[in-house]
Amino acid sequence: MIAVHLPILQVVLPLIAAPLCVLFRARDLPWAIAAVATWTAFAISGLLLAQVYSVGVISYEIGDWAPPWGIEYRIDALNAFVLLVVSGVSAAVILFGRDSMLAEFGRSREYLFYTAYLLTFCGLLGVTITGDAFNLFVFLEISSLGTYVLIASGNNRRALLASYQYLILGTIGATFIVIGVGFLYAMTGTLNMVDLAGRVQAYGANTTIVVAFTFLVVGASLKLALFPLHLWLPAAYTYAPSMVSAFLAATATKVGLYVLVRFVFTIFGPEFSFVTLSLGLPLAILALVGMFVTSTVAIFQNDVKRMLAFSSVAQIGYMVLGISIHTMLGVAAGLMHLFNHALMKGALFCAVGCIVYRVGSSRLDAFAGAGRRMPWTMAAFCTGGISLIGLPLTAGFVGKWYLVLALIDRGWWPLAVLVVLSSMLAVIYIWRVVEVAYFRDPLPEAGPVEEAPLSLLLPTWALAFANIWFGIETSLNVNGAFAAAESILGGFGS
Amino acid sequence: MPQTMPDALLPLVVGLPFAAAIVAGFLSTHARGAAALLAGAVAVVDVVLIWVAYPTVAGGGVLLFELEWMPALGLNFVLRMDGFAWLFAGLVAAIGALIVLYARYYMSPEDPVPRFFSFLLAFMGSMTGMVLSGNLIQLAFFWELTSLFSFLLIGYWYHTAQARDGARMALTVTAAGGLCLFAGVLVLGHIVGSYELDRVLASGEHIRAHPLYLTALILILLGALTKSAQFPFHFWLPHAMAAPTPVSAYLHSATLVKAGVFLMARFWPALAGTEAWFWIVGTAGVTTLLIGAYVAIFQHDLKGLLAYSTISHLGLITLLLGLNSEVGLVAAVFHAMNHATFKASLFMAAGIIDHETGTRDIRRLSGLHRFMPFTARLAMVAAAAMAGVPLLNGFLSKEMFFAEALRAPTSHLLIHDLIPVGAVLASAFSVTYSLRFIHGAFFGPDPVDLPRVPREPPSWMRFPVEILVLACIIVGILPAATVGPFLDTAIRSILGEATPQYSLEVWHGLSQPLLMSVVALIGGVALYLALQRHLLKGVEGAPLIRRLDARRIFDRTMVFLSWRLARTLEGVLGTRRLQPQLRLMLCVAALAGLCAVYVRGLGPGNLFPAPPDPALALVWAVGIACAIGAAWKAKFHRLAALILLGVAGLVTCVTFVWFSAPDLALTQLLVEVVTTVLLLLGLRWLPKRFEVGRPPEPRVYTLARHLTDLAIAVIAGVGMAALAFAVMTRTPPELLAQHFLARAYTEGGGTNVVNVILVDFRGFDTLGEITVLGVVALTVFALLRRFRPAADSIELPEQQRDQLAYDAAHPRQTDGETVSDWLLVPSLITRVLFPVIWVIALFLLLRGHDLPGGGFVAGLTAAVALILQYLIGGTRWIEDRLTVQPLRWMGIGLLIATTTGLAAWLFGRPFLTSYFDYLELPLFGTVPLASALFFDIGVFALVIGAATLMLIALAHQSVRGHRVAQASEEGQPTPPPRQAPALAGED
Repeated sequence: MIAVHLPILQVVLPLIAAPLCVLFRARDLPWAIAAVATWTAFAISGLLLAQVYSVGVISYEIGDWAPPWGIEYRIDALNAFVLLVVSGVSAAVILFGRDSMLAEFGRSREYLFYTAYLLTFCGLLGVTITGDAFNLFVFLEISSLGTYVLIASGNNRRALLASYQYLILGTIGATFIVIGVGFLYAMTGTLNMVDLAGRVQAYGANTTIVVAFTFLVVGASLKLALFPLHLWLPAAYTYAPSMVSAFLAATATKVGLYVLVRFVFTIFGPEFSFVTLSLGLPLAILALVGMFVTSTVAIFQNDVKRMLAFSSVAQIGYMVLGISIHTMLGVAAGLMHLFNHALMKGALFCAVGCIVYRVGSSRLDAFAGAGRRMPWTMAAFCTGGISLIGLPLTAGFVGKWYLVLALIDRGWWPLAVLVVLSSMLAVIYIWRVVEVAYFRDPLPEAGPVEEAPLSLLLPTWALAFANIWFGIETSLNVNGAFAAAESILGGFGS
Repeated sequence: MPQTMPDALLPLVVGLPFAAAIVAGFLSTHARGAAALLAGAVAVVDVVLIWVAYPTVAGGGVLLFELEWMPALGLNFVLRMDGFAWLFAGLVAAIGALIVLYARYYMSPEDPVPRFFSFLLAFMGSMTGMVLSGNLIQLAFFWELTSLFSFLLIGYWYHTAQARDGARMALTVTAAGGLCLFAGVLVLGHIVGSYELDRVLASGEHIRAHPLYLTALILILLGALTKSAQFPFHFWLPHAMAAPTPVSAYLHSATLVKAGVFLMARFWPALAGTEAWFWIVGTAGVTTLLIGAYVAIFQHDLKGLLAYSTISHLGLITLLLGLNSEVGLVAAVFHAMNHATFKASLFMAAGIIDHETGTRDIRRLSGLHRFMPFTARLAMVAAAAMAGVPLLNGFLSKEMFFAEALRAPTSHLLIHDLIPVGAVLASAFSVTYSLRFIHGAFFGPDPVDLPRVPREPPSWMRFPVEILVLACIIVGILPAATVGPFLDTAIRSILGEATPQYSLEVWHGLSQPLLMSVVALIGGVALYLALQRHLLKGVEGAPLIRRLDARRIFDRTMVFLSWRLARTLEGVLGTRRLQPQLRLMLCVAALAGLCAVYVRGLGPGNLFPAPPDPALALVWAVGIACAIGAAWKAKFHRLAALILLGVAGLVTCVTFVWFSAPDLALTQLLVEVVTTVLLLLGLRWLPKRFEVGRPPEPRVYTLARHLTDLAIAVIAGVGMAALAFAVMTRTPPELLAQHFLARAYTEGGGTNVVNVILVDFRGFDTLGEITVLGVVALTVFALLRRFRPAADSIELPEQQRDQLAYDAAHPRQTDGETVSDWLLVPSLITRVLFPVIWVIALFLLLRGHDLPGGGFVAGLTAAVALILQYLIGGTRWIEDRLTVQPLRWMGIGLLIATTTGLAAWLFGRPFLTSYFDYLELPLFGTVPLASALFFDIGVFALVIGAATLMLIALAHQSVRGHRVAQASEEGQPTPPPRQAPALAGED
């Protein structure tokens, strides 16, 4: 019986777990609740993915109201894929979180933190799984608001400012999305995505629909931190606790990208978005400029978390570039990079979290001597970094490889070369850290530092290892991305 | 085809060094002997394994080893050994083995030697993997690995800045080249349709005819030329001399720099033979040949001299490859082998001198042949080979070079004549610097003031040099009998049928090349004699081009890229202030909107609006005026702005009523009330005026900024209004609303359609929205957790101060008595009202399903009851009495709502399926009972909890803030923040 209800369980489970954290606050209990919920959600997403691959699209009618009247959960190869990414990385990060948060946040109000975490997690899953445009907005709000709390729990008082700034910008972005959904509703009278798709495509490029499209794209771009709407991201990732940085970097922007893809491909359709409105060109330009500009800025950073945050913006450029090609290969490459980037940024931020745990800072200076004193941590960092750069035998390579193929296939030659060259910038900023960690002597005031505890190392290494695993055994990420791309493209562009 | 070696041994050849590298990495820091033994054994095993493969490749066979990776894309791990790969793999392994032996004695026991051998082995593995790659991508990958490990080797003594800079420069240049190579092989693979080396090499015609040929060529050559240190990328090589000498001997003789040469020769069948190839490769080669040789003469550091000589010799090989002739290729490969032998031995000799005397400066060294006669002789032979003296291997390949230079395949006469002249000139230079090396170091008077007393090195340290020098001599005398077959195998595997006739003879008779050799030898000696006095003066750098320092250009570029540019970009785009971010955000949105409108045009729809009712129009005029007023006053008169905002909200509320939406109106009203109070509480703590921290700017700027902001605001607002107007004047489509209206009662069991939608049709959205409300409360709580009021807002408000002053001035009054007197009646009424409001709230909750009301409204009403108590009783009074624990209320509310949804599972229905029935109760009669009611109760609880949490969090600031103020007035340390009693358990 439960198998039928898996889709809703995916979202409701963390939603129930969140208040439980508030009610049961004994030592470590909130964390345990969060961990159990996350791991169960991870298992459910795995089951859902398997189910989608074996029987096709799953539809779950909430409240027993048939779509388009009621809210429908609709799981296809695309969102099943994203669900797995989100819950998988969260599963690793939550294990990492226990000791890391104890060190950076303390015991006091621990339960509040995990409540916010679970709500954010629930929101992200809800956004991904739903087949209803307004419901998507509601859960986007849950996840965004939860994110503000998570960021505000940073140790540094600047975390409050970062959180506040993100709150303001994020709220505006969310408003754009709700306005867009509102226009769509005014035009079509429906909110169910499949229903919307049919009606929108029947109306064609009607002004209202174009306006709705604009609002939705701008709103989603802010959420996914597309250059130049990324300004909220660096501060937020820098001042948030390490676990939160890892969690958000690996999930929040990915879900933002998913939202964009969902709107653009499922609701409006590739024909409308890319042929009638030629969205591909502006997206590609922004993605490319973003890649170079933010990578360059990343080189300049002296705080490793901030550096990685800028790098995230650059990496989002790769994903968006893939999407903007709007061919099978391109979209698959973008989605693949979504998967891979979640793994690499997860690993990198966790590794930084280990350093913060031992040294107490994520500034570049804090890494001095880490190569010898925390060899496993730095090895994980290097693995993540190599994957980020995109060397073969890592997950990062696979995504970039397909992206370059897609660009070549589309005939966008110069862009393919630019993508490869932009990797050089990644080499430089990763290198800066490696150089300090291995070749600089530790600061005298740092005192004795030993390797991070296993409770931190194991999740970090799980993510680092995943980078290698999915660079060699590529069936899940590559086939998954292709299945997802196929499910949204249909016959378009082939 | 004879198979003497199973193909499966190939991965062993590549894998062994890597495996050993890992093992060596784990050895203890001082295990010098063990690490050297391990490395030596691996190198020797590799040599043996490669040797075993010789019969196969000599017979024209190819060893293949394949592992599937991404077969769908034709991306597999392929190791492939033909004659050419065999030759290079053999060189890498054999010279590697000698280097290990040498390094065992060269490296000081104080250094972490196992790490050195670990890097060396990994480098050897990467190099072997590169030459044995049967797949373009894999080749590029191993190529980058060689860059990486060479970097680690060059930077081995990372404690010196020189080593770090040199290593970084080498990595930057070669890895950037490697990326170009990667892009290049991608293009190449695209042209061919496969990344398999075999297929690429077989489709030369197709590639050269392809429009993308030039792109691929340039990218691949960028990779090759950077690696082989060709002009203008040569500058990294001399700086890489900061490496330990065994590293230089290995990297700059047989391996790293030869990778570029290897690549050009490898792709020869696919890419060479065109004008473009001739011009690019030939020009790079000839320029490098001359510049390298010229600069080498003026180096004072033995290793620096050898470094520039290496550059020059690589230029020679590149030039040979660029000539587009098959014999040129033969000569290039032959010279690559010869250069590897004599240059490795010379580097080792320089290392021995450095090791035994403590310096490598030619100006300080002198007369060493008396102290280390054996080493001196070895070095002399090797240097003679480098200079191209007959009966040594360098002479042979140089002869071939001269012969090819005379036959340069160009129609351009000037070029045709220039190449032989350049060749002779460069050879003369090479004689000069070889002489300088020998004469400067080994002859002349006894050295004075050396850091150490020179003596012969341990004999095992000299052994590798002896082997190599012996090779120089044997090959020089009996070329055809010794290296002939190997060279032939290598060339045949590249050229196949097209292999030309060539002869490896020492004596070709009196020919033009011989004449050129003689001229070069004599000219070189003469030049040395002429320059000797200048050189002894010890001026740094080569005359004429001293100021053209490629390194400085590189450094400046790097600084610009990595520092200035980034800082500028960060300054422009990385702002941490909110205002520019908002401006950007709105501009992007406005721009996108304008674009969309530009594409489609925008006009009013097809419906003509009905003439507005004058009364409503008036109400709206007021509302609009208030809204604009609120925006106008928001910055300096927040209270006024808030009141105006409230009026605007009320107008909305009236509008709802006007259009018969009582439920919306009720909710709007309550939301207005609650938010206004919360805002008031919050505004209290904002600093009074916005302080501008920057120096005052001219009024014009301020005005311009204000105008820009105004324009953005107007565009955004008017744009939204226009859009709304355009949309609302169109025929509405068949909305879901009709459906809801039709089914609310029959299927949802309620006559209040709004409520049925909220709790049933779209109950899940409501569940989401109350969660949002809960998180909002948490956000407020979290953000206020560490809130510290601004200094200027800590003071008590004026009214309170007056009252307190009055109380203090009158001895009969106790503190606060005035206020409580004044508020006696209102507070009494409010307290009485408290239960009444609660009853109303419950009433609204229960009737929600059929009449205006519902959980949300009820919750807000209850919150208003609490707020009223706060207004009247004051924060402390309430906090001492409050029993609501907001977080628990929120948690339980959410749980109730969710569990109601889950209960549907018990009946085998999906989540949140509602159920309704009528319950016969004694006294009450028939009571409608829907599962939605339980859901509403959950909503109710959560709303109360959330509103209370925000209220407490905000209101409590006043208690905390004043305590801080008092403490600082009395000069006490700031007390720890006191927690509100209702939240006391929340820590």
